[in-house]
Amino acid sequence: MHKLHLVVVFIFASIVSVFAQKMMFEQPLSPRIANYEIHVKLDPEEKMLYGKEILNWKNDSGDSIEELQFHLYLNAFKNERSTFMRESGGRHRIDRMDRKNGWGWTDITSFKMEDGTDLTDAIEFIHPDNDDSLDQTVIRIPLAQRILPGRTSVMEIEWEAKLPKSFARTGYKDDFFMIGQWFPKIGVYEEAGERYATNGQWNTHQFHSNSEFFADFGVYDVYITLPREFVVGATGVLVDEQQNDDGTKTMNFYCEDVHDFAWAADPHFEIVEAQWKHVKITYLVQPARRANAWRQIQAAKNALEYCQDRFGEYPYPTLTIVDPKYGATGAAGMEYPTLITAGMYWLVPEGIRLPEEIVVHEFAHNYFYGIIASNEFEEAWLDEGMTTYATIKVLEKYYGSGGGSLINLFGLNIAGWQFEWRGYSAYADRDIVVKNAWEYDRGGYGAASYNKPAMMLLTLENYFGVEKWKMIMRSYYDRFRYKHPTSRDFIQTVNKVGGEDMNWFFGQALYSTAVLDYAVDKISSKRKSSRFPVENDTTKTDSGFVGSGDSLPELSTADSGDGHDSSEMQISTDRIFYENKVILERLGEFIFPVELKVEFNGGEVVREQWDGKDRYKIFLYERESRLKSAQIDPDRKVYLDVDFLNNWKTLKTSKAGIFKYSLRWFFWMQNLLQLVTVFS
Amino acid sequence: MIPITDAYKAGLRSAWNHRPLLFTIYLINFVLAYFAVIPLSMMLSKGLANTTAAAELLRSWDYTLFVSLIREYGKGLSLGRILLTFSLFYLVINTFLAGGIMQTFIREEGFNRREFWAGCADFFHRYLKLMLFSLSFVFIALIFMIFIDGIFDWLAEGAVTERLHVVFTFIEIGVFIFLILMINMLFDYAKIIMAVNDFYGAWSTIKIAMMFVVMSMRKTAGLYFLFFITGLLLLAVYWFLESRLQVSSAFTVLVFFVLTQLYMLAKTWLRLSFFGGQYVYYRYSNTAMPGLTQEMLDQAVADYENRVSENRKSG
Repeated sequence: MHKLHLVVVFIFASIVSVFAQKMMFEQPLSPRIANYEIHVKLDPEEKMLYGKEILNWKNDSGDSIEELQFHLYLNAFKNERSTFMRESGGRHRIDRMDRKNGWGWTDITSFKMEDGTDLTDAIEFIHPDNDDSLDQTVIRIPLAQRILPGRTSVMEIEWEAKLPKSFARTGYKDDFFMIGQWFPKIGVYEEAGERYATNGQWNTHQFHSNSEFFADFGVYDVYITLPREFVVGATGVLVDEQQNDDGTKTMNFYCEDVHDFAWAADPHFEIVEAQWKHVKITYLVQPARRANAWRQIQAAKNALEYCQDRFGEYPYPTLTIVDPKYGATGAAGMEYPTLITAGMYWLVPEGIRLPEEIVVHEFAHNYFYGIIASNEFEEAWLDEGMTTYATIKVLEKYYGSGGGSLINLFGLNIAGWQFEWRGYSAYADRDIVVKNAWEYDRGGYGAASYNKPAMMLLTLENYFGVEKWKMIMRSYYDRFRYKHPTSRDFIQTVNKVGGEDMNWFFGQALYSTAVLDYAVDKISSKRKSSRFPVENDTTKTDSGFVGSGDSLPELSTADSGDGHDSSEMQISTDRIFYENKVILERLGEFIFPVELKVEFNGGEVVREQWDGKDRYKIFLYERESRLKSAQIDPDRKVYLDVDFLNNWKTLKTSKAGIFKYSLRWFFWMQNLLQLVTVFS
Repeated sequence: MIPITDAYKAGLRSAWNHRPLLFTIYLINFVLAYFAVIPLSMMLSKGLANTTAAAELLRSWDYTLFVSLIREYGKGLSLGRILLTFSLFYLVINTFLAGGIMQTFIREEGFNRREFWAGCADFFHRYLKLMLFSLSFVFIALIFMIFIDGIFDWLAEGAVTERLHVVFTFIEIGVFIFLILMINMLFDYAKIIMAVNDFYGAWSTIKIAMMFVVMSMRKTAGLYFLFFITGLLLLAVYWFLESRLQVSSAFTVLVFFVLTQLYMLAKTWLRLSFFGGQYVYYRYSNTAMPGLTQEMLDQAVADYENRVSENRKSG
C-alpha cells in the first residue's frame, strides 16, 4: 500500500514538474535529460539547507543503466581529506578556507526510486579520478532495476547541507548566502562514441581545486523557502512568491534548458534593474556600492551585445548579477546559467576596469559553459579560454580607446589581451592545453586554460580574418549549443567552416608545448657598385630568397649597416646600390606563417610572407636606398608569439624612446631620494 | 614673537639667496639619481638597441614590450636592492650635508664653499645620531600604527560593507603621514638648535626641540604646513604641465627633461626653505623677550636678510 502510494505521488509529481504551466520556451532547446523539482529551506541562523528534489532523468543512451552517479560537491569542504582540500591546501584564488568554523557538507537522508524502492543504504562514495578514497564528492547508487534505453526514471532525494563559510564559489558570510553546487546533482552518462567514451560510462569527477563542472541540460523548478526579509536572486525567472505563516516566504524560480541552478540571498541587497532587448538584467548590489552599479550593468549590456552578435542568441529572458558582500570574495567571479557573481569595491576608479572585466567574463561563460556545455573538468580551455577570448574582445571594443582596455590610469595603459599574454608567455611551454584540469600543477592551469587558448583564438581570428572567424564561431555555437562538444568538435568546425585543414596548427597549439617565437635575427645594408648590368631591375620590389635552413649562416657584423662599410672607398661607380639583407629566425618549435615588413630609407615599404617552416630565412633586396628597418608581424596579429621585442630590427636606434623612459625613471629616483630625507 | 608668515617668506627668500647651496644640493641629488638609474637605463639600451621598438615606445607605452624587456634583460636586476641601497646612501649623504646647510644659514654671510664643507664635517657625527633617533621615532610611529590598525580592525569587524575599512585605511594613512611630518619637523628644529647652540648631546637637544615645538605647537606646525602646502601646490602645477605634454618626439623628451628638473630645483629650494624658515622662526621667537614689539622683530628679520645679502655680495 505504502509503495503504491509513493508511485502515485511520484507519477503526479513528475507530471506536475514536467508538464506544469510554467514555460520559458515553446520548443525545448536542449535534450532535457536531467530535470529537477527542488524544494529547499534555508535556515540562516544554522547556515543549513534542508532540501528535497524530484529528479526526472532520461536515459538517452543506447545502454541499460545499472547504477546512477551523483555529485555531492559541498563535501569538498567537509574535512581536510577531500580531494579539493588536499589539492588546494585550503586556498582558492586569494581566499583561504576557515578551518575552524568554515566547514560545509551534504548528507543524503533519503533516496527513493519512483517505484518506492529505498536506495539510501546502497549509496557508496567513489573517487573516479584518483586514489583519494576519503573524498566524498561523488557517489554511486546501484539500481535494483535497470533503466532501459529511452526511458525516464523519477527519483526523490532528501538531503541536508551545511554551507561552508564563503569559499571557492559558494557559502555564507554573515547573512549573505551564495548557494552554488548545493544539491545532489546527477552525473553525465556517456555511451560509447560520445565525446571520448570508449564504453558506456558515467562521467563524474571529484570536486578538484583546479576545475569547475559538467552536467546535462534540463528544466529546473525550484522552490526556496527562507525568512521574508531576504532578497533573493536565482537562475531563471521568479514565477511565484508565497508568504508563509511562520514569517518565511517561498519563492519559485524556474528555468529551462540549463544545466545548473544557483541562488543568492541577502537581506541587504539593493535591486537595480535594467533591460537589454529581451533580457531583464537584475543587479543585486551591496548598498555601499550602488553608486557604481551602472558600470557593471553597462558591462553586462556590452557583453550581451557583443556575444549575441558574434556567437549567437542569448535565449534566456533574464540575467542576474550578484554582488557578494564584503569579505565574501570566495563567492565573487563565478558563472552559473543566467546568474553570475561579480566583484566590486567601493571607490574603484573608472580607469581600473576589473569590475567590468569580471562581469563580461562571467557573462561570456553563459555561452562557453552555459549554452555550449563543454566538460570543464577535462577540457577547461573550451570554456575558460573561449571566455577569456570573448572578454578581451568585449573590453577592446567598448573600453579600448586610449590603449588601456583593462587599466587606464595615470598614464598606465594595459589592454586585456596584454594582461593575458603576460600569463601565457611566462608559462608558454609548461603544459599542453588539452589535459584534465586537476592534473595541472605549478601554475600551469591558468596559463593553459585561460591565457594560451585566448592568445590562440586571437591569432586564429587574424589568420582567417574577422568575417570568416565570425562564421566559424557562429557555426560552432549553432552546431554545439545545448550539447557537450570536445576540442575535436571545435577543430572540425574550424576546418570545415574555415575551409582549410588546421590540424597542423591545433596539433601545436593544443596538444604540444611548442613555443612560438619568430625573430628578426639580423639586418644589414651593404653599399655596392656595379660596372656591369645588374640582373634585376633594382628599382622594383624584387626580393631575392637567398636561402633557408636549419642553422643560421654567419653574417659579418661589418655589414650591419652603420653606413661606413669598408668597401665604400674602393668604389668607383657607374651605379651605386645597396645589398640589403634581412635574416628571419624561428626560435621556437611552433611553426606558423608570419609576415615581414621591410622599410627603406627612400620610403619604400615591402611586405613579405614567410611560411616559417625553416629555422631561418634570408631576404635580399638590391635597392638604390639603404634598408631602414625590418619587422616581423608588423600588425601584431600573432598573439601566440612569446616575445614581441625580437620582432623588430633597425639600423638606427631611436635614442629618444630610450631617453624618454630612462628620464622617467631618473625623475622618479630623484623624487624618491628626496623623499627619504624626511627620515633624516 | 615672529608671525609664521614672516618666517615663511624669510625662509623662501633666504633659500633663494643661497643659490649656490641650492644648486649644490640639487646637483648631488641629480648625480646620485643618475647612478641609481644606470642599471635600468642600460637594460633599456641593451634591450632596445637596433630595434624599432624604441621608436614605438616613444609614441606610446607598450606593456608587452616592457614585460619582455624585464624578462630578458632584467635578470639579476633587483630594483628593490637598488632603491634600498641608494636611499640609505642618500640618507647618510643628506645627513652629512645638513650640517653645511645649517652652518650656511647660521653664519648669515651667504654661501661659502669652505665653510659649508666644514659645517658638514663638524656636524656629521652629531646629526648622524639625530638621524638614528629620528629613525627610532619612525619605528615607534609604526608600532603605534599597528596598534591603531588593530583597534580599527576590531571596530570594523562586523562591518556590512568595506566602506568602513576603506575610511579607516585612509585615516590610518593620514595619521601616519601626519606623524612622519611631525617627526620631521621636530628633528628639523633639533638640527637648528644643535647648530645654533653648538650642542653635542643628541637626546638633550631633542628634548629641547620637543619643548620648543610643543610650547609653540600651533605656530611651528602652522609654519611647517605652510611649506608643506607650498609643496603640494608645486606638485599640482607640475602635474598640470606634465599632463599636457605629449612626450612623443626628441624635442618633447627634452622639454620633459627640462620640466622635471625645474620641478626638482623648485623642490630643493622648498626643502632649503623649510630649514631657512624654521631657523628664522626659532631664532626670533627664542630670543623674544617681554617688551619686544612686532616692529622690532620685523626689523630684525629684515636686518638678517640684508646681512645675508650683503655678505654674499662681498664674499
